[in-house]
Amino acid sequence: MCTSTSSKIVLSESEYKLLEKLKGKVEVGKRYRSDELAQLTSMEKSSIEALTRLLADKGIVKIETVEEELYEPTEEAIAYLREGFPEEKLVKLLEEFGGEVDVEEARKRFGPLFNIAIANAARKGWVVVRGGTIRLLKSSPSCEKERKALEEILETGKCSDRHVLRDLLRRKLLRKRVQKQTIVVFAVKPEDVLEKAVVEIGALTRDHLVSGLWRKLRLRAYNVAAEPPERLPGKLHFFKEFIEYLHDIMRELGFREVAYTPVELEFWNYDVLFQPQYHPARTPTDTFYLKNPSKGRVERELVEKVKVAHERGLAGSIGWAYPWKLEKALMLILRSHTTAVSARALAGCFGKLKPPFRIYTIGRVYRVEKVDPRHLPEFHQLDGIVGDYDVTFRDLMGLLAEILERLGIKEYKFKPAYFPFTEPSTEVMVRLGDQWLEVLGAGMFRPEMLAALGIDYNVAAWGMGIERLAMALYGLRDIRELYSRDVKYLRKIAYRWYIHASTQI
Amino acid sequence: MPVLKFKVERLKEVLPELSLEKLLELLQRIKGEIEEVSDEYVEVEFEVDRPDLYTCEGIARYLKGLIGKELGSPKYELYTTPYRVYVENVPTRPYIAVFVVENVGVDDNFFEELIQFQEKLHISLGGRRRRVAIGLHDLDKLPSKTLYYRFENIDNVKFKPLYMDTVMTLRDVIANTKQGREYGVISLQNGMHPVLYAGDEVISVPPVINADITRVEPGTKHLLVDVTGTDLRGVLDVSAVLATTLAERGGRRIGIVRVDYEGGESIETPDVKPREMHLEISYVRRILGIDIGVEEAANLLRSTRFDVEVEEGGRLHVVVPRYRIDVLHPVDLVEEIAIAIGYDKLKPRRPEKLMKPTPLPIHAWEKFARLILAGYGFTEVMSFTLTSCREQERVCGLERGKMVILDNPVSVELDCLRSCILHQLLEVAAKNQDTIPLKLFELGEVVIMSNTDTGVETRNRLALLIMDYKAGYEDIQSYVYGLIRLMGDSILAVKQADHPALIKGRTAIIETKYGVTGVMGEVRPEILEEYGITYPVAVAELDYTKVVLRGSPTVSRP
Repeated sequence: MCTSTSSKIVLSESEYKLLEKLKGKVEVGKRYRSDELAQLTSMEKSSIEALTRLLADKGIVKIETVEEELYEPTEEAIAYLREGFPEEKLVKLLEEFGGEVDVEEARKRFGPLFNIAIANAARKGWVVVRGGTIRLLKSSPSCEKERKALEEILETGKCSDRHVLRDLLRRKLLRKRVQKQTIVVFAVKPEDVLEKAVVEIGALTRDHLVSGLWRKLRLRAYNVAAEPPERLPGKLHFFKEFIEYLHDIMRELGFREVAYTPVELEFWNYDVLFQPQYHPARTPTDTFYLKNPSKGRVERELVEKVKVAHERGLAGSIGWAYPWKLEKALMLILRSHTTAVSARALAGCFGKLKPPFRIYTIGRVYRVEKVDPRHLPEFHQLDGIVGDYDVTFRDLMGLLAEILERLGIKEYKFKPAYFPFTEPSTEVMVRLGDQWLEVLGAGMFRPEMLAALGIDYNVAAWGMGIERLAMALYGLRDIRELYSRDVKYLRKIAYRWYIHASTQI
Repeated sequence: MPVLKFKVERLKEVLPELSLEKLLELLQRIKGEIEEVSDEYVEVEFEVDRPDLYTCEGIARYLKGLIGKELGSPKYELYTTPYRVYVENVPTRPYIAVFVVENVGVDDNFFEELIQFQEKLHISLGGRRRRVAIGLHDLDKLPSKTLYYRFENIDNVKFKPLYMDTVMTLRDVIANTKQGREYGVISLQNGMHPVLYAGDEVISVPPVINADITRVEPGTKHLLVDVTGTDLRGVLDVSAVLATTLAERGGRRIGIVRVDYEGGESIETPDVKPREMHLEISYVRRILGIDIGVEEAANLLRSTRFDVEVEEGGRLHVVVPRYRIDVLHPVDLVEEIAIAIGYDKLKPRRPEKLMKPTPLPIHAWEKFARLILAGYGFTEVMSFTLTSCREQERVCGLERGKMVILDNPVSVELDCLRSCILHQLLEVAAKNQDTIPLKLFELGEVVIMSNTDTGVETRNRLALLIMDYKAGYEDIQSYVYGLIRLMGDSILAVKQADHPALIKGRTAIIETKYGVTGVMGEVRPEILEEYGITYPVAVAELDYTKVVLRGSPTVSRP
């Protein structure tokens, strides 16, 4: 493939390393066995064979496989090596008996290998058997030749002494085995290959850069479409980020942020807002009441005005005309809407107000509901107020339009609605996908309420549930997903960043 | 709030000139929310302010104005009847109104609607019968023209309750009937209960149940209605709504009944005398932000069924029918004008003034703390603020008396408003033991007892949790120190501390220069075992409520 002298030869990093090691050590055209090359490079024979096969594909070497006949000593031969050959032992025995011994006596003393010992000793001419007696002919003969041959065979599988080999085979002290041997013949000198080599690697490393090897490197092409491992970051909560976006919008519109504890007096949640005490929402079926603590405190002066507003009316109103009870107003609840915070703002709880002002709060509110896919006993609301002598219902509509459009909502409509504390009142429906959703309630705070608080200018107000909007914008069907405790879910849910670009729908 | 179900057939009967489509459109314009539409029924939700729209006749009365068919106030003819009510002292439910509407003609269709009307009035204006309750009677079945409203011993009152076959004592009715169990306690006091008699027969025990003797059923022609309650306004409001609406079926004639109270005072009921109000055109303009003429405003009010006279100086004299109980103040007439114009015709005016935004400083602190923690690889979680008192006791070591406890929780796991966050992060960790290492944080509000007007104060807390094969004090400490320092703050003091959920000797309280305080440490194995957690966990909970730059004013938060 790559034999042309002018073109580059692509090598893997390990092929490159092998050739590097063989540089100057091999000749072109000579036959090298793989184990020789292993010795030359001090690498494993198996990796030499694998790498030379790859080099053969590239035309750098030629490979032949030859079969070699090899031998290995049997267990019996190994035992002889360790303990001495039987004929040697026989000679020793004869020497102990002064060079001559009775055959039967010798057999008794020698043990099982007696026949082998006497046959070989006789064949070699070391002893002679005559008339039932064995006689030693040679002094201290040994099997040194056989021992050397066996050791050679153990090491190399081959034997250089043909006579001994034949002898050992005859005595069945060797087994034959056939081994395949790789013969490598270099077609090009490694140094010439290296000159033209480009090394292909899977990953660039610091070593490549430090050694300068990168100049020879080429990065292997990836299957770029293969699925990579999943990476999950530390992550800000997607719903909290949506709430943060609402904060951003309110800031853009020049609002001041306020907050208050979610524990409230009925007084601030309902009475100040001109919601009569007999209103069906003001019961334990709708509102959470507290066992501990259970009763709050209110300033006397404001109590009197609110009482009058309810019982007889203020600012030209006929009021609700029922006996207003302070104990009811002092009961502690979990606020059912953040309008309670707006009421506190108007009462000066966050500092004296001077129109014009724009104030908002985002907080949790509570309703007696069981947890199910559509309901939670607590959720978030955004409440805002705008106070000014000339702020009107149309300004309120314009402000709401502005907020909704900054949320990317283009289609919305204002519907007449009822809230005890606003007049005129409106509910705003927005179109998200193919559904119309009621997202906020708004209106001008009632004169009875404002008069009780000593306010002589208009106050436009609105309240907006956040969960339902977030669900619609995130395409969630189950409200509980917003409060998921499944960390995998929280880490994997994709941000709908485009909501924050006012352009999603 | 109340959802009403009307037969399409009935709507066509009262408003034959409108197509169903047009009708649905108009219902939304008058604050109705269409819940469901089928071939047979329309379900629409009206709010508590407009009980005069709880029947087909009521809807027709209003819509005929908006479509220009009838303008101005409807006029009702009042006549005196021979019926009389003598009222004794009924301390738990002192007020009663009674009236007669003849020729109502209760047929099958209207019977259904009448019962619904009664029920929905009970819920909305009636405050689930506590404030006001209604009894409907077939006038022809009334045993006597003289009625007595008394406070009686429940053992001495015997009658056959509505739809029942046997005579029972009132005690029995309260104890052993569904209605009795539900409403029996409302007006009961020391074994005494309000009872309405016709002659010497019991016809009603408000607010629980009527007697069967005057049962209204399809075929009933004329009605006598009693309305009882705890405040006169409520009783008169409900009477006015009921009387005028029923009279829409009975030729707009209403039979007055005289009610004599013990002690000489007597009133005639129902009170359907219209109210008079003045509306300045400048006020309309100031609220709505539109440039509207006096005549135009007058005509719009006429189309919403008010009689109007234009006076000098841009002032309108408006006659408000008594059934419009929602009109308390001229501002309510302003809304009528807006509705008559149509909200879709009011042009929103965009904000023009430039104003300076002022976020809470603590909010800015949170913003950067969250970024740092996400950078550290923590996942933010969001829990309910409703939580379990028991868990708070166990993990945060809070005593019952120091916790904010609900009186009517929806479940035992949600019976407290949280005073700490640690136990909630442990719950999350327990559920996510397949995600190791786990690093979590949550920041938000908790409440603690305090001497404020609400008895509590909000604290802003940041809780951190690490769960891994090894998670020790130093692991959590390193993140806390890192966070504090990256917020430009510095550690002021760190001391060994005791904590019910944390290992002794491996727990510290911390205080920073800018006023962050908190606790951090390794969670005790016995706590981990209780949560079924099989990995070590280290946690911290920091309180940054009072965080403030040296020298800058603290933003006080109750």
